[in-house]
Amino acid sequence: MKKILVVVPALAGLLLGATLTFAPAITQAEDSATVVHERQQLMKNFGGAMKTIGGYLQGGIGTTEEVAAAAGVIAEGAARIPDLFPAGTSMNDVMDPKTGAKPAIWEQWDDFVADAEIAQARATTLQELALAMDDAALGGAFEALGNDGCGGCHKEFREKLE
Amino acid sequence: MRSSSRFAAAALAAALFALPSAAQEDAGAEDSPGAYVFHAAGCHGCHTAKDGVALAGGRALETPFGTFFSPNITPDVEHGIGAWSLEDFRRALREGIGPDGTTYYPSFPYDNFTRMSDADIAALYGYLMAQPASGNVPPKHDLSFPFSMRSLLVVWRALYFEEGPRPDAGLDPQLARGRYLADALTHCGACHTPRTMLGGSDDDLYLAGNAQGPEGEKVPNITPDKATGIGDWSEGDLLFLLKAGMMPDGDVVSGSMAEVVRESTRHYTNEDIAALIAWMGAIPAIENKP
Repeated sequence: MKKILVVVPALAGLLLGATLTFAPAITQAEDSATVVHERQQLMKNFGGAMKTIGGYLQGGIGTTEEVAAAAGVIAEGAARIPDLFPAGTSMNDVMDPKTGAKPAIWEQWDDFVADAEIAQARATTLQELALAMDDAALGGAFEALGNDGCGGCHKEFREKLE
Repeated sequence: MRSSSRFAAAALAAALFALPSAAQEDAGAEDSPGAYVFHAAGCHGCHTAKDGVALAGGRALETPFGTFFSPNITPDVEHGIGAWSLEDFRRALREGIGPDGTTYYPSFPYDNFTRMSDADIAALYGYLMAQPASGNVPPKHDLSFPFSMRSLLVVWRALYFEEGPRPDAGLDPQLARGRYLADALTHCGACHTPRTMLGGSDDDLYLAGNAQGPEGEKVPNITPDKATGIGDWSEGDLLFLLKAGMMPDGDVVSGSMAEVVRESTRHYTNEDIAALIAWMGAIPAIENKP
């Protein structure tokens, strides 16, 4: 298509040593636009799910079944995160003013993947508690998901854009 | 099933977030009063480098004035604060002056910590002295001229530094506590209040947002202004922000604020959460878009 190839190897990662794993490379700008759009949609879905769970905790809106389903959306989505961040799609690479994906993601790829796994684990815990209708434990599980899961990754790897 | 959405923040927090009761035996324990002050004041974040030893310093703090590197505050006698007396420590926080007479840059927010009570300073001292020592030597500050001239801090201090705890002056006790948390401990204004050209806190824009926050971040207006601040947030919204980092739209905070929630505000007691929320609702609404 119109855009030139965007192939950015994780140079900093290469310098750090051979034991690191690498983000899958992406070869065409058209693919990168698609994948950026896809992960933005994923994050929007996470936001919606967080709101559903928050609404239940805060105001008793909805049911534990809906909370469990929302937590499931996050757990399943978190597993897809590494695939949705191929190398060459950082906020410096992609001409999309809406992506806030910091280059640090690819410099510290293993940390990034570990953060996604934590998010998945915390969301799964929350889902199980909701299925067990354990209302008393949901607040703490939600706090853990927000801080360790979403926040753990956002802290290092996401630039908040307007 | 709960149906009311009109919870008081404290009741909601109590219903949702259990906290262990405080034992107070060991000064270095995670449930000691010193640990509480330590978390609320966010010491760990600035004094720990990425992947570095806890509290051993060296974290780079990029600002419009240059890059600051935090010092080692572990109890190492040579490279940390292990040789400091409680009085040395009190003077550092209350006056911004080190045991050797060095005046600190306000990147160490002693214009906030000067407001801490003697009891909290002593508790924090006890906690820090009980942590593992590290001999790490952080890099020196890398500042642009004229900020590299430490002697100019005399000017900053004369213009902006007011020493000591603020009088409560008839303030409702919950609001006074909320103000203490915001200003003396968690130092919200260090990022959320803009700075003047000379690095002083611009108090006319208290918590009204900062276009040039640390590490290049744009920091939002958190006054109760409806258009540019958080005036349309409920108490429950604030509770969820402070505990889980979630904003009303379901998004979760990023960058430094993710760290603040994780290290500081989520560790507040429910009473303190409620006090901070009360204070956030009571401060002047300022229209300002950073």
